[in-house]
Amino acid sequence: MTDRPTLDQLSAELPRDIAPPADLWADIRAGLEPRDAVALPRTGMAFRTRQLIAAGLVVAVASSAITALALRNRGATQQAAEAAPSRPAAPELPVVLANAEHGYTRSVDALQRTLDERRDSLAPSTVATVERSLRVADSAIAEARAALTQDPANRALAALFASNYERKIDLMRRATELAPRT
Amino acid sequence: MKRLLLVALLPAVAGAQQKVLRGHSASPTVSVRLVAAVGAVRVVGWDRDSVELTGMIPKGARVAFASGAPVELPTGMKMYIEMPDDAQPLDGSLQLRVPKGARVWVKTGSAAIEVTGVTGGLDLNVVGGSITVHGSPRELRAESMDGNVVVDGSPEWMRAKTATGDITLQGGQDVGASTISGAIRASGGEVERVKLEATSGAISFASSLSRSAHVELETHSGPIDISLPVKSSLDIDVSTITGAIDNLWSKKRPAAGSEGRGMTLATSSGMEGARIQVRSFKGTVQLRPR
Repeated sequence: MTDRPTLDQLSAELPRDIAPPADLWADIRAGLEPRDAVALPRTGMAFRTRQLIAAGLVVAVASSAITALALRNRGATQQAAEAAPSRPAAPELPVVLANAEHGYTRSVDALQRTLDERRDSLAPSTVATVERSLRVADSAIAEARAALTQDPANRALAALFASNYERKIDLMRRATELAPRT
Repeated sequence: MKRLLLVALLPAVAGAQQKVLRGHSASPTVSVRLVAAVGAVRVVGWDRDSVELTGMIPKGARVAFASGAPVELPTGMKMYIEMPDDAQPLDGSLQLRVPKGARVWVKTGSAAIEVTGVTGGLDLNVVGGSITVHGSPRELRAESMDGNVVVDGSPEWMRAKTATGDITLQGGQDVGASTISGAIRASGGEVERVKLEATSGAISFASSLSRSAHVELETHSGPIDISLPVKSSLDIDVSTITGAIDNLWSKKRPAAGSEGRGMTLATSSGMEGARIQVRSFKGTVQLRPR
């Protein structure tokens, strides 16, 4: 809860459009790619624990990447921006957010697999509640994402987009931890 | 908990239900874990250095009670009640008495959990049912899916989460509440740091602010209602993506937002005072005096 104001303050000092140095993306990729190697256990408490760790790491790395970008770009000159390699034209999301979303979606996918495996052990009413809430979360994510493609520099919008994902992931995590027959 | 004493209870049978009665001396800050899919769980903090579990549970339920070292005043206890296959979700009720400073962890299904008088730590988890906490534990984590969470004290640290259930709280030093579509209401107490967030649920904030309070309110589509004292030394920063801002608290008018969409409202007291930050995608934000 105490990190966001700091990040907001740092972000407020950034120019509206700036391309990050090429080596930064290598660092970010290096931080994200090992997640592919996280082996998901098949069942039981170990499954949930490891999965939580993996999900936490993905979120932490994505968050750290954003923070690192803000810190490294603070005070960067326009020359540095111009020296960055050319990027694909008009990406759907700013690259930082696209990378963050990639981390989120991997967490979502992993948690969804667990939920699918555990679906039969949960009460139908619980499954219905979770699925209804996930639909609300998905709708909010889609809406924020579409808005971001139109206004990619909007920091408040980016924060809302990330928060929607975090609430969804947290809900899924809690659903995977429910006791059988509840 | 290297040394465990496991005791299987053989409760007295009373009709379709059986009685539970178990007690043990305990450290004043004992950690107690209870897993029980019963209809109601009442946790009471008392002045004695002991733990007592009483109640009625369905016939055929298995009860396990384990206490750790040292035997005379254990620092940890675990209680587990396994219901019979044909038990109804709301069968049975339990009362757990613990030393006031205990740390209590309760996990149930659709129980109504009510806690009174615990000043230590609470970690409460339900799916349906409800969670009600009276008083001000040092730490409180309350999680439910569609059950409501009500806290009428001011915990030092609190995190409450629901999917569709409502969250009602007063205040605290470090407070976080999150929901997908439930409502969050904060009023009656004082807050130092608080973050309330919802996806589609409504947020209502009317708690008092400490001098250096930091309040974050965030929603995607639910409305946010903020009630503030007329004469407050506050920095306020409100932004919406498409939602409206209705400022009845001061004369400052909201401005058009980024790219001409949404609205923003920023006011500064010019002093290092309390700060309120509000973000909404399309929910209406209203500030009004109280």
